[in-house]
Amino acid sequence: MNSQSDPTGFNKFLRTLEPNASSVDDGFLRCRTKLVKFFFWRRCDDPDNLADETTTRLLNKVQAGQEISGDNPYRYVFGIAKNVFLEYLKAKKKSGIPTDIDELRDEPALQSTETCSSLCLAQLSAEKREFLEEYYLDDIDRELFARNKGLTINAIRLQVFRCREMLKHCMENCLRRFNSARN
Amino acid sequence: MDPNQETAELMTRFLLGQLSDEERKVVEERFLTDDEYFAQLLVMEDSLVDDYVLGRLTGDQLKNAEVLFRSSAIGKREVKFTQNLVASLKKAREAKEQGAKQKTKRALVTNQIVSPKTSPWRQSQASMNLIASGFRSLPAVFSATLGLIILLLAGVAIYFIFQYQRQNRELLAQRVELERNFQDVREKLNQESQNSAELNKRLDLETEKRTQAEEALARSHNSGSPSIMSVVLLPTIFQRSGGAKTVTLNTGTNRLQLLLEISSANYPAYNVRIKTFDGQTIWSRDSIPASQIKQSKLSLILNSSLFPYNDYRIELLGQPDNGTGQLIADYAFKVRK
Repeated sequence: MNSQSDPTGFNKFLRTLEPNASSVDDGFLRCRTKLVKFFFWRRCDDPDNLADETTTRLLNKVQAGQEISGDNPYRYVFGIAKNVFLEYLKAKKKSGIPTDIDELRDEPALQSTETCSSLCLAQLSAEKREFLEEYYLDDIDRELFARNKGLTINAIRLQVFRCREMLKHCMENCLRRFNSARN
Repeated sequence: MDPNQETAELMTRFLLGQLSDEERKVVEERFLTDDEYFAQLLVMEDSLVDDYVLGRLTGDQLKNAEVLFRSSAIGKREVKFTQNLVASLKKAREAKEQGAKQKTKRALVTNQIVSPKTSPWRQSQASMNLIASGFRSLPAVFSATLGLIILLLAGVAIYFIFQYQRQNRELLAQRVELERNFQDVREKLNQESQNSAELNKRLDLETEKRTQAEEALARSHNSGSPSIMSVVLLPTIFQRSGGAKTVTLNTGTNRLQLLLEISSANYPAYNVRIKTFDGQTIWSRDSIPASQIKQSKLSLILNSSLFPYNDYRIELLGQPDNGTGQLIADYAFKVRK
């Protein structure tokens, strides 16, 4: 492979990286999400940027004809990500950027957040709403809550996670509509 | 993936940055390559955000969680999202409770609606109030006198009620006494009738014994040549006619047994009169018990010497318990020697 853009090479690599992905784009998204979490869990202040940096370097490497061998292609990705992290730490030390973020950039308006939150909550089934109410408002130990519901603790966590994902997805759409309406 | 307790704890420690470099590397390599492991880490992360927002973390866990969630916009967004979710859920619940309270309140208000004027209870109450207010408006002396009269009437009424109740009690007691007496009398009567029946039985027995004794005596007298002649006699229209039976008594015949045919033995006792056709009574007996009738025949064993050569008639009378004997049948026979 040469250094010119070679999407087929990268696509092929993505398919190797994420064999369960439904498409190349899905595969890329999965890979990027993992990298974002990698940097977030390492307490980086801008995980999105660092993930993008990693995927860019990966793409460049693949397109440059870098042979990625081995049974675990993510080891290669992991290696790149670690390098990016180390460089980030070095730059942070040098510049003295505080790691504590007090304010969110581009935080949506309170009113739109509240409205969207209520709307999205209303879209959940009554059963799910009641479940979330009990989980968040009833001040009960997670283990006891699980026992009362006749479920395992992880089953409870999973249900909460899925409800949150649905709400997050709904909120994103709702806020986008709000913003476009405002603009 | 359903992690065991150890895996769950390892993941939590990883998220809180409490693992060694080597341990962290293992987890990171795993979640990058293992989709299920990565998904589980995301679930654990959400749980950690919940615990952080709900104030369930303490000490080092709280410090490390704060570092994680305050380190980037992503973390802050997660916390903000969870806080908004909790606030929305609280609002929704409050709205639900408020709605429920209002429904109950509305129901109470509905129940407090005053019933219409046409309610009979309210009408009577109004009338009573009117009467009471009328009394209140009268002069005091009049009211006092009226009060006294009412009191007096009440006293009299109470007295009469008391009297009535007392009389009632007395009557009840008398009734009980009468009933008791009646019971006693009935028992005595029963006893008497039992005694009377007993006596009658004994009388019948004695009569039978006497008859048997007479027969035995007769037999003993004629022990050399016990000779008895029996003759069955049917009821007849008595005539000195050829219809009557002829009894030929031999010199050796000591006794004559007359068997009177009785069609229906409805009397407790019977009287028998043996007469000649001239009207002379040869023999009679009263109160022969009905038990002596055997096979519809009343047996009379008599000394043959009572009956010389003649024609005879027998009157059979039924003897009721009270009253005189009733002629039932006549019999006729002739004695020839």
